[in-house]
Amino acid sequence: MKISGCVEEIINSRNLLSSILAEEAITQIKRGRVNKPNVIWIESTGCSGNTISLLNANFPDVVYLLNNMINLKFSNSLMTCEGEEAFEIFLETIKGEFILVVEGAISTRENGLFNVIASYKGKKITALEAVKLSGNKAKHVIAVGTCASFGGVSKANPNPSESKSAKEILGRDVINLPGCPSHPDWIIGTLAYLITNGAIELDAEGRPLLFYGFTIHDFCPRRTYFNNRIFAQNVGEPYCMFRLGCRGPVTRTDCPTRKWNSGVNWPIGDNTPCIGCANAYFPDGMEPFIRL
Amino acid sequence: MEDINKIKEDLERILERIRELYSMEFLALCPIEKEYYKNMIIDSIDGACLKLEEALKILRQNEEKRELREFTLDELANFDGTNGKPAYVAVNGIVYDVTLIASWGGGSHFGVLAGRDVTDEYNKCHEGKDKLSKLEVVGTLKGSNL
Ligand code: HEM
Ligand code: SF4
Repeated sequence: MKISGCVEEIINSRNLLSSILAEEAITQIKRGRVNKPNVIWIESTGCSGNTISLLNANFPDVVYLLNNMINLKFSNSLMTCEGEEAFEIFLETIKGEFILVVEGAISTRENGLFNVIASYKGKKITALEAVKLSGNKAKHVIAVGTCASFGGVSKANPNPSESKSAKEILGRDVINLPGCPSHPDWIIGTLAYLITNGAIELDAEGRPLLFYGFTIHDFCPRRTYFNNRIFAQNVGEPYCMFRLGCRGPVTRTDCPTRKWNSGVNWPIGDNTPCIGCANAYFPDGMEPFIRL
Repeated sequence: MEDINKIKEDLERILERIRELYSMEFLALCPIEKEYYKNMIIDSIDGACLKLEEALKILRQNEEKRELREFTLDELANFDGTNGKPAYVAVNGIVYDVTLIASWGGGSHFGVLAGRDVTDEYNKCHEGKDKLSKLEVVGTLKGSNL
C-alpha cells in the first residue's frame, strides 16, 4: 500500500538522518553561509551519562563534530582548561551568540550549593547560577537527557537536592532531548538542524518531532505479538512484554529503528521491557520496571 | 459457538458456489450469459457479507453476556495484572478492566498499581477529563453506595 510505503521510507532514512543533517551543516559552514556556533555545555546535577553517550557517536564522531560543526567553548567534563581560566572562557562566551546545552537537572537547595561547577575569584559558582547567567542570553537552550528535560532521576522522590528541569529554572522555550541517556544522534542531529535552519519543530513537551514523533510501541518489532495478544509470561521470552510492564506504548523515541551503541541493539531487542527512560514521568511514574 | 460453526459451514458452501459460477462464467460464450454469472457471483458475495454480520452479532452478544459482579477489596486485589491475571481498578465504586489498555503495561500506570481502589489517584491526575468511558466495566465494588 502507498501509505505504508511512505512510512517505510521515512523509517529507513531516519537512521541516516543525523549524519545527513551534520553533513549539510558542515557544508554550509565551510561555504560560509552559516557560522560555526559557540556551544556551552553545562553539566549540572546529573551523572555525565549524556556526555559519555555523546562520546559514543559514530557518524559523525565527536572529534569530527568538535572540529567541524561546533566550537565547544565550555564543558565542565570535556574541556582541558581548568579553574578560573576555564570559567573566564565561559564569561567571555556568553557575551556573544551561543547555544546552551544543559545536562542534568538543576539542584536548587541551599541556592544550588549542592552542585558547584566552578570557583571564580574566591566565589563558588553553582550550576544554578551558571545556567541562569547564560540561559536567557542563549540563542537556543537544549536540555539533553531526561533530568535536564523533566527532572528525571535527579528529581525523583523524595528529591533531596530539590532539583528542577531546565525549563522550570529558566521559564523560556527549551528544546528537550530526553532519554537516559540521550542518543548521540538526537544531540548531533538537533544541533545540526539548528545550525542550518535556525529553529526546529517541537511537540507539546518541547521535543523535536524529528526524533520523538512516534512511540516505541508504534514501530516495535514485537507489535504483531501485541496485536495478537501473545504475551511473554517471564523475562527472556521473545514475545510482547506488555504484561511485564513494558512502557513502549507511552514512550516517544525512535529506538526501535535507531537502536543503541552504534546501532547494535536496544532494550526490547535484548529481551528486556522498555522502562520509559525518555518519558516525562521517569523514573517514579515508570516503576515498577518489571512486573512479575 | 454452535451458531458460529454453522455460519462457517454456510460460508464454505458459498465459496464453493462462487468457484462453480466462476468456471461457468469462464466457459460461457454468450456475453449475456457471462453477465448473468457475474451477477450471481456478486449476489453470493452479498450473501457472505450477511453471514459475517450474523457472526459478528453473535460474538457481540457473548461479550455483553459477561456478568457484572461485585468485588470486595480483597477480591479486587487479586486482579492486579501480575502473572497473566487480568488488571482491574475501581474508581468511584465501579470496577474497570485495564488489562489491555496500552498505558497500563503489567497492570501499572504512571506509578499507580491495578487491583486497588484508585479513586483518589484518578481524581488527582485526571480530574475533569473523561478517561473512563472507553474502559470496559466488569462490576462494582462491594460496600459502595452505587
Ligand atoms: C498518578 C496518577 C496518574 C498519572 C500521572 C496519569 C497519567 C496519564 C497519562 C500521561 C496518560 C496519557 C498516556 C499516553 O501517553 O497515552 C494517561 C492516560 C490514561 N489514564 Fe492515567 N494517570 C494517572 C492515574 C490514572 C488512574 C488512577 C486511572 C484509573 C482508571 C487512569 C486511567 C487512564 C486511562 C484510561 C488513560 C487513557 C489510556 C489511553 O487512551 O490509551 N489514570 N494517564
Ligand atoms: S514489547 Fe512493548 S513496545 Fe513492543 S509491542 Fe509489546 S508493549 Fe509495545
